[in-house]
Amino acid sequence: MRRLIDRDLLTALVLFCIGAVFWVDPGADVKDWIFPRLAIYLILGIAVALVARVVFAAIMKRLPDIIHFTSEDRIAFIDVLVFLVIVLVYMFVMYGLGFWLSSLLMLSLTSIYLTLDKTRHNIMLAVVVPLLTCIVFYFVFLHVFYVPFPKATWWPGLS
Amino acid sequence: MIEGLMLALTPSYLFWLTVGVMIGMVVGTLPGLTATMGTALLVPYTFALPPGAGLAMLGGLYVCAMFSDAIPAVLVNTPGTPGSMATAFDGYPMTLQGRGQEAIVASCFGSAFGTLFGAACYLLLAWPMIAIALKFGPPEFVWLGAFALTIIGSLAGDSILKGLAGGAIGLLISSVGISHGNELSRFTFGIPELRGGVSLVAGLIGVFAVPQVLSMVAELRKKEFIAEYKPKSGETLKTILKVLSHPVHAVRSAAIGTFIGILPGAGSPIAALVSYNEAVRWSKDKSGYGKGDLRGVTASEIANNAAAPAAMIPLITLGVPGSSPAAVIGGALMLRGLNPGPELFQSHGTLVYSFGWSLLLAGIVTFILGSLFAPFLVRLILIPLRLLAPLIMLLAVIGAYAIRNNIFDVYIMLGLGVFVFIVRPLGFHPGPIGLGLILGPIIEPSLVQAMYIADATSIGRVFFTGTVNIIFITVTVLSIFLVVWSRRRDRAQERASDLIEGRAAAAPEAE
Repeated sequence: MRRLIDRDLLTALVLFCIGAVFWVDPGADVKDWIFPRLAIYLILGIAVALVARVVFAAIMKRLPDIIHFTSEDRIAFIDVLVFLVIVLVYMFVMYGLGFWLSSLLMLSLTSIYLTLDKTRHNIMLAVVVPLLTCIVFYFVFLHVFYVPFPKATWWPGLS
Repeated sequence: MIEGLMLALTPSYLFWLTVGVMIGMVVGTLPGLTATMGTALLVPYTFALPPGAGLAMLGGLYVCAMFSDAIPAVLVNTPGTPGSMATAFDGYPMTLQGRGQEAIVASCFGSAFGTLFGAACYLLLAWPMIAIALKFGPPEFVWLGAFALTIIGSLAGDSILKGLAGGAIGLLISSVGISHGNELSRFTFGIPELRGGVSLVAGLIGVFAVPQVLSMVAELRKKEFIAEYKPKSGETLKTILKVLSHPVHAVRSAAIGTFIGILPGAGSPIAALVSYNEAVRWSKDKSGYGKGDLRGVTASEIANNAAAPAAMIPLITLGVPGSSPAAVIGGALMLRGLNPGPELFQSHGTLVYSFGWSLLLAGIVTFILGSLFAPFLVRLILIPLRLLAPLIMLLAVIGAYAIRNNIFDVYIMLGLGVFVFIVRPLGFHPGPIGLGLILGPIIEPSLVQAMYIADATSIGRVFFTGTVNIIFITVTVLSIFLVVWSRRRDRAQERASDLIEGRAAAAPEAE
């Protein structure tokens, strides 16, 4: 059973999934599909080779190469997950609140969450540094490099 | 040529050159802002200056951006532009070892060396070199790309199969969008935004920066900073001496960068990758590469900076730009009524040579400013991870968005980043995926063009005849053979050393 979470087998599974997602009707002209199809064949070929390696290792009774998760890894995983959720919400909120306000919120929230020692000084830093960053980036990217960032739609006058 | 030098050395030219270099420092350091974007934004301001001074400013920006893109690559494993992807392979491990200042100074000196070499070729060897570049057609570019793909052997880590798979995934992602044959939508899954393809810059930010940010978040409870850093006095001189202690390596990297720079469409990223690959191949001790070897940093930086002045050679001699920033500079010349091409040499020889000298001086100014600022730049890694990770994420979002002003690129960046972060524990490295993303847009159009040519003749004649093709096929096959052979040898050596250690451990127990 442990062999089912062998690193090579999981890799092969990922590669089969990628091959399946990109396996679409190639069209009539070889010039349209030769390049991606060659890449897909290579990916699927490697997936088959990895499966063969796992089978061979099982026959030879070698120990499977398993990814181990410690309790520390689980906590780190939760940190990453919370961070990603805030970033995903930021992507959604960006069109409502405008780029700069939503960026300030994202930076502050992530910085506060990632501050483990939540002293008054550290929390202050987690708010002031994002604020200063947003102000500097606002001038650099908007007024020097003319990048037109998304504007607020929920309250159009906001930014 | 002497008149050109005198012109380039006038105080006003030097002043505008320095201004260009300083802007280039900012442009290269910020991921998502490329030298192309920087030069394009600067062009309108150069109209207020004499043509030579304006060109010096643009050249200064281009050259310095090719150095400063190494700063985020070295310090936070996020290439500032695609040209510094290979710099991160050894630069970031050096930072983790507390050698960030050494890596920055090496990048800076390497960049200056590469620029001087490339600019010298521009001034002295433009015409003979262009004769070789003209022999490159679509099939030659296909083989050049295939040869560059062999770098996977150096980047794959423990498993060559997973490295190859990573490269193939990168190539596959690069083929999303409109096909080069009959302009059909490919792999767009009904999403109209995907028809424009995956932006290379957004893709590279996704592959390198996002997993790095997520790793920082994951490691937050174990360490507070990226790495320890204490400024060292005399580090600049020591590093320069270290770089100069490998003269063959430096000249080889510069020659590769210059040669690839003059090939239209290849550009700095390919130059840096091929140079890195050759540095690994020709090195007697390969074990340090990818783990913080100074030669890895200089191989990439010398080549990508040598490619910058070299990209001006086809522009000035033939009117064909060798890179995107060179195309913008060509446009700036045309807007002034100066048409790049052979006639420019005859009608405005002094301007052409003063530009060459300005590029050369830009290398020197870049080195002076870069080595002065290096100890301050490295302090970036002393920002606590809890503040740095969100800041890099914001920069990644801005970088991915700014390149095409398209929020969809940000989603792609994030998606790719999360994918790479998830598959990394399986043994995938970001390097081969990034390599595929860079090489795909070069190999596929050339392959399709070559196939159109083959329709009129035959596949065999197009791909397997011609001196350049034969040379590239030979070196590609040799390269693959060497990768397989060196990996087998390393494995055999590992087994032998394990056996010796096992016996040594067993001996006292037996006693």
